[in-house]
Amino acid sequence: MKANSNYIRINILLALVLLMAACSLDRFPETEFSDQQFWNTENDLKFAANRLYQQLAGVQLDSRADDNVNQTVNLISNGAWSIPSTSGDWSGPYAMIFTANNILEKGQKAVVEEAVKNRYFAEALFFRAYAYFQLVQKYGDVPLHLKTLDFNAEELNMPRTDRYQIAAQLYEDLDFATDWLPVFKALPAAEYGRVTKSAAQALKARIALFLGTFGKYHGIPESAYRPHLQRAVQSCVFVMEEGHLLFGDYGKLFMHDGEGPGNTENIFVKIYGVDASNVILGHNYSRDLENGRVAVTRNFIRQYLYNDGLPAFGEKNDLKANRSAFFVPEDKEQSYNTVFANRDPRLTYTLFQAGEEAYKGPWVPTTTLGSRTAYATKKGFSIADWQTNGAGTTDKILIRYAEVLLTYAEAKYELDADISDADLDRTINLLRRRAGLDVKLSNSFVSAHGLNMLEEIRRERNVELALEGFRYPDIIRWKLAETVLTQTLLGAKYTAQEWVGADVRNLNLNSDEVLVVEDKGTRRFDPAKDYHYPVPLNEISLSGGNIIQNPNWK
Amino acid sequence: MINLLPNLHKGIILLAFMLIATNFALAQDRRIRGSVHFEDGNAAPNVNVAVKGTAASTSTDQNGHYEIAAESRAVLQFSLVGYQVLEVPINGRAVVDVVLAEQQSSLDEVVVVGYGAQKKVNLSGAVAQISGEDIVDRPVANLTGALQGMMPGIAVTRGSGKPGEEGYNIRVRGFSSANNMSALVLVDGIQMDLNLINPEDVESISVLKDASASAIYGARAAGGVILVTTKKGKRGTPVINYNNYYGINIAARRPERLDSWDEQILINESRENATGNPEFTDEQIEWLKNPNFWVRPNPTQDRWEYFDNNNWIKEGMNTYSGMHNHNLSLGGGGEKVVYNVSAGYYQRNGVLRYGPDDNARYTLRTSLNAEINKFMSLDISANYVGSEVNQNAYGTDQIIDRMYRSRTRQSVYVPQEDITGQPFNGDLQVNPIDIQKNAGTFNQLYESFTGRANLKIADLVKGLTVNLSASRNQDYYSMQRDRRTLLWYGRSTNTIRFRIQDPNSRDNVKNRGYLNNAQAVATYDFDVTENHHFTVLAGTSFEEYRKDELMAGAQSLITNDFFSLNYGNPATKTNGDLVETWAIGSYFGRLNYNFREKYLFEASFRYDGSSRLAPENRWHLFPSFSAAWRLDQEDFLRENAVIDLLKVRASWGQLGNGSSLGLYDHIPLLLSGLRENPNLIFNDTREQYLYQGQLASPQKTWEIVQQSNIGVDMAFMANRLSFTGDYYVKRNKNMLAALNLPSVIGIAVPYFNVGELKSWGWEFDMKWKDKINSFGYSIGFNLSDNQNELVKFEGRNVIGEGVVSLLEGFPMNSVWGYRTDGYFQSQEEYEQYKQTVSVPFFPNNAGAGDVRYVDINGDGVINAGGGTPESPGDLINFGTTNGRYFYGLDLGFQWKGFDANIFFQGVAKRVFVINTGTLSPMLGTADLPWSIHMDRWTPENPDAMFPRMYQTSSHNYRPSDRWIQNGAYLRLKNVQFGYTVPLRTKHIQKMRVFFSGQDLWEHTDVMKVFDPEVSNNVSATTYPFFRTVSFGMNLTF
Repeated sequence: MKANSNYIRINILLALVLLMAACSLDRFPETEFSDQQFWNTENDLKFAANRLYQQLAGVQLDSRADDNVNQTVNLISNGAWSIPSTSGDWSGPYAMIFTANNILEKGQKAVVEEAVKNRYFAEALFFRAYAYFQLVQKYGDVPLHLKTLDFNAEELNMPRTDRYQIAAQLYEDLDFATDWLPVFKALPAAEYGRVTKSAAQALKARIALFLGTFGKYHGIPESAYRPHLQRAVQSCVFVMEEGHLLFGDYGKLFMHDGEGPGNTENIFVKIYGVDASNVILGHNYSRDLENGRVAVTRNFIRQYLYNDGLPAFGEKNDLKANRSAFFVPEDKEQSYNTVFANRDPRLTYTLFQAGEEAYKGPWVPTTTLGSRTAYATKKGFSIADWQTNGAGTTDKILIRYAEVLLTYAEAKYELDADISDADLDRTINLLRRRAGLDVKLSNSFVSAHGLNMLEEIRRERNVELALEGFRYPDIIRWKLAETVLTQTLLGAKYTAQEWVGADVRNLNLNSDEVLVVEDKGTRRFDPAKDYHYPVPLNEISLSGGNIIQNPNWK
Repeated sequence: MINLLPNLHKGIILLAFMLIATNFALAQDRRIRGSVHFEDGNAAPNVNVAVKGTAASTSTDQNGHYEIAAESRAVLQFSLVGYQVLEVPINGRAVVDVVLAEQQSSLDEVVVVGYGAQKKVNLSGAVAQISGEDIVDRPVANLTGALQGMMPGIAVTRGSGKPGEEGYNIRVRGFSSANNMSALVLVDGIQMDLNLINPEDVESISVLKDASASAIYGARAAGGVILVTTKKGKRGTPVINYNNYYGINIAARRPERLDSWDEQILINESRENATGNPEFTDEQIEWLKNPNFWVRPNPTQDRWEYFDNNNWIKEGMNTYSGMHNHNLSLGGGGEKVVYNVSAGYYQRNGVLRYGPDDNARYTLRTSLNAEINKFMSLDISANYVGSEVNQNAYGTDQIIDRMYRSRTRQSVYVPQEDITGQPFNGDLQVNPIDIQKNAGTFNQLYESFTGRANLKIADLVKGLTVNLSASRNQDYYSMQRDRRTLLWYGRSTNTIRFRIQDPNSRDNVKNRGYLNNAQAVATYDFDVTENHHFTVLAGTSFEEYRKDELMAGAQSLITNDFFSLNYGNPATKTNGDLVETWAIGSYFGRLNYNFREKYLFEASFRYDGSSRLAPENRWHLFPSFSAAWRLDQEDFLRENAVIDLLKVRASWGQLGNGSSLGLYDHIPLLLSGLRENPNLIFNDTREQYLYQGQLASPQKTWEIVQQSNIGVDMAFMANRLSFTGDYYVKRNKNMLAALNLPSVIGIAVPYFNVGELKSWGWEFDMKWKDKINSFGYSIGFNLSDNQNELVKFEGRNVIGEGVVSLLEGFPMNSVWGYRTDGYFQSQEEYEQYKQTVSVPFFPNNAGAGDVRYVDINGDGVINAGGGTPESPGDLINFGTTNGRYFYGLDLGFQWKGFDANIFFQGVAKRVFVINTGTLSPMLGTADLPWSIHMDRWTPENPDAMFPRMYQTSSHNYRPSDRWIQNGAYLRLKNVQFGYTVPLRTKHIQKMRVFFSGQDLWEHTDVMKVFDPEVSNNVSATTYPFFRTVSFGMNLTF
């Protein structure tokens, strides 16, 4: 009996041990790819770089400045903003920077030709520069990380890097990118959307113009800001020699007509598509326009020239003493459409007039659809995109040739306080001619009419690039924000016969019967603080205090 | 691996065979008759009478009479739940009358513990057990809901009333981790979802609370272990039970809509205050009040303009909805074989008036136990659970959201003059009624099949029992979502006002998973001299899981009324697959020693290895020890007439938590963009992109929770009064937490073992049970408290307004907000305040009617300071959203055929925050005020509940003492009245009818439109909770 029980015990034990020994605990992912197996081929590099295009932001509404308003007040525009705990403005670009740095490090392993490898490194460097510039524009100095960080890296607590030092890095990176990216004419149609030499140099020009003029108007020495302006000019020249052409029709440029490689004005776009029945990536911009989310202000309309090439208002929204004869004082405006009369045609490409076929029929001035200014934005509106919510598929232009031309003109003038008529002819006057404004800007015209050349160059930029996200950074670098953002935001002229169905008692009108959108009493801008975004509180506390807040934010 | 399990078919064949086998009756003997009474002299019906050693058995009738055939030398066995089993030799008599004595109450009670059972009095760990009878007949959604308040230290919370997605959460002894630490639920030894168990199938539920009781489950036991034992057959004639109830759910405590004119007045005020312009004129508001003028053609657009007064909630949400539950079981058996079969059906409808919003559950459990020979017996069970949840394709929550955010001036239907052919109005917003009826369906089906076999080999060697078991749980999930395109026109089909789900689409997800479990456990009982009793247990188990999923979708189907992937636009078709696997291997053991049932000692361990961890961190040992001293067994108390039980016990142990371990976290993975978010396009086609979603974490390991417990168990006065109390301290020494890193890292950070959480609490349970003549009554009260503190957290400490989940030196989920001091009653008052205090989040035209925030730190600005607890600015800590002092009070009465049970449940301390978008009317342009907002500040109403209306700014609704809710409540959780109908029929042994009410009453300070049990950050559009009344019947044949 004793022997028997031992025998059983041993057998049981043996069975148990065998049971466990037969079972392995190794389990591996079967539907996810391991990073260690990756980074070998050209396709690997391309798929990794594709992530950058996916992370790229496209359509964004921007009512931070005085040019347009959304349905509700914008806290940056009216100065009522405060320090957030976290912000996508800060964390978003760093996510793209991680992707770029990761490619630059791990892609080294790929067994491909140097030129292939460098082309994708060039894409990574382009996007890294693009992301850093988003940060620099808003925050000024930010930590410059050029490699990926592990969770315990000491560099996580790095203090902010001087913005001009960052710029030096970006210039170098973009020059490398320019060396290895394809020229736009050599980019196969199937790859349309990928960055080219032109994109790299145009981005460089944008960065250089921003830093050069920001430096100039916010008080850094001339010796420090001049090199940036010179770089801007050089980069513009590079792009201007690549052979880009302006698209024939200013209005259609922002619709489906302007899409694709056939339009060489577009230098860098975010691709949306394909169509409403197959929305791979869609936006809602046309619906946003209908709902007044990009409602142009009168303040901005005042910037447009009249047919005689003369303005009525200066860049500070001040009524000029010497103004166009076509100008109709606001109390004398007979109709909602009076402001469109005898104007730079780009105004009629930018806004719908009363009675014009708009979103769902002829436009009737109203504030009830959402537009607080009672103006209806036309630029970028596509009836095809509007049909279905979220199914807008017009590509979003992020860099176009017109900007390069405007940057060239502005940087030239900022460098020497002078610009030749020849330079004006190959920049601003090309844009005017395309838009159908037949008056050339020239040195003689400026002096004949007592205009200010710089103001006219800037005016051209405002008008040409209206609602494309330039206005806010422009007034920041020009140091105009405290002047233009603290003014009353005005809307359309009220006339009983045209505002069918509107009840005047619901409207806040000034003595000229012009809609008051936001009274200047509700707007403020503190130049000591508001020229920079507040750094999110968490970034400061998580850095152990190495990151310091921008001046006067508390 | 050993070959696993007979499958369901085999189980059913065996079962059928055994059912036939039991019908072989024994040779006829003498008829023995008699009656059975209780001690109080009443007749005892339904008493099982069996002839010992044979399969013969019967039950007493309503009058306590029985008749059975037996040999004259046989022994009769009388048994009834709650009474001592009585064995009476016939000794040649023809009539055998007996009196049943009540069970020596809990002293003989046996409690299910890990891999076995123990006498409750001999436990040295903390284990709570309830019987299945305590929770039946409650009109709740599932078993988890039925457990609310039943046991001290077991907190049950719920998220919403949505059928099939009630969001029940069960937490044993508070937080032990910042991560999702769920209790390990084992149903007859197999890991399962508690929500899918039919409450009627439950024999008992044991909750292992302290480390000594649960350490035998090692790495998954830190959240507590819940052992559910299901009903098994009993020897004797087959007993058939049929139970049912029909319930009515009554939606309660939900936000209400305003009349259109009141709504418009508030909208006007909010716009005037924010922008200076109202939206409607007084005349237009008058139109709203005019019932004869509700629509007109828009003068300038191809649209209608509505001036109706339409309460969308009334139109689209039911106040009353139904539920019902049926359960049929059959159990019985003979000498060698017992069986039990139980089938259940549960169905509940939700609040949406049209379209699917329901949940149905089907359960089937079969079990069979056969004695094969002197040494071996075999247990086989085969079970099925099916649960279907049906919803609208647009999403139930989105529909409710629309019903709260559509203007009341919008009508449901278009006017008769409408020529577009559309019945529904969708002019200003999409129409939620149309959506309910026509937006398509979203159906989910989950099915699970479980088969288990256990071979028990006993007494080959005296005292040695070996259990070999294997089980497989095979589940199947199927989801399909058919989104129909809906559009709404203006006055003509030229104008499309809105469309949804355009293009139409179908999505399918199907997966199949399995969980295999093989285990072997040996138990050896032996004595060394008669005083030293030992039990040694050793075992091993292996579990492996694999889920294999396929998903596919297509858009732009050729019609809106037939949904199949075959008819989608090929360019839009998407598909993907997903495989998830894990495995865990374990060795475990336990030693029990008791000296004359006086000194008790237990030690146990488990050694676990998991595939989820990198090989070098894979294995860990989890030990525990406990001891108890039964003072009542000492000589100085043994003769005592009052004290029946007095036991003190103490335990210490370590447990693991791995619920937040991912499957392959130690390997850096690249995600497929086409799978995760296929939104990259080049050359008019979807393009692949690959990226790393988060950093890898090879150094990650289990969370190890160390727990110490001391407790006392007492019983007095012939066990009428019992008391159990415990105090414990838990320490999660290496809690997993996402490091809070600066965003410059640019990628999601995985969890690391960086935290340390201390958690401590106490709990007690008191019961009094007595009988005065035929009136029996019982009172039970339980109360528990739990607190925690994040001792160490290597992520940095950051606070902000609202709930901060992790903060070193504070409990989890601490609530931070401002102090307020009423409203500014005039512009002057504000101007004066502004002289010294600036509020950065105030709009530039702040003023009278706005909340006056207190500048606590006197720095002249209302803000979060440095954003740390050391420099909190003006924020103060209001406590935590974790509840404290959970309690339950249970009153039971029986008198003759009547029984009643009244059960209160509550939480005495809790705070939570209401979603700002809900508090602040018109925060977004689509947001609207509700009825609560009528009490808003105006110069005439200076002491209003709400500040002045103000559009699109939440400045008055920042978390503050004004809005943070006191979430304490006392609730009449369940009340039940039953009556056992005295029937005089042979066919029905027992018939009880009952009324049961759930959540009928509560006392709380929470804003009256919210249920006090809602989770933090509740929004108006949360699916409402219900009160439930139900009527049902229990029948035994």
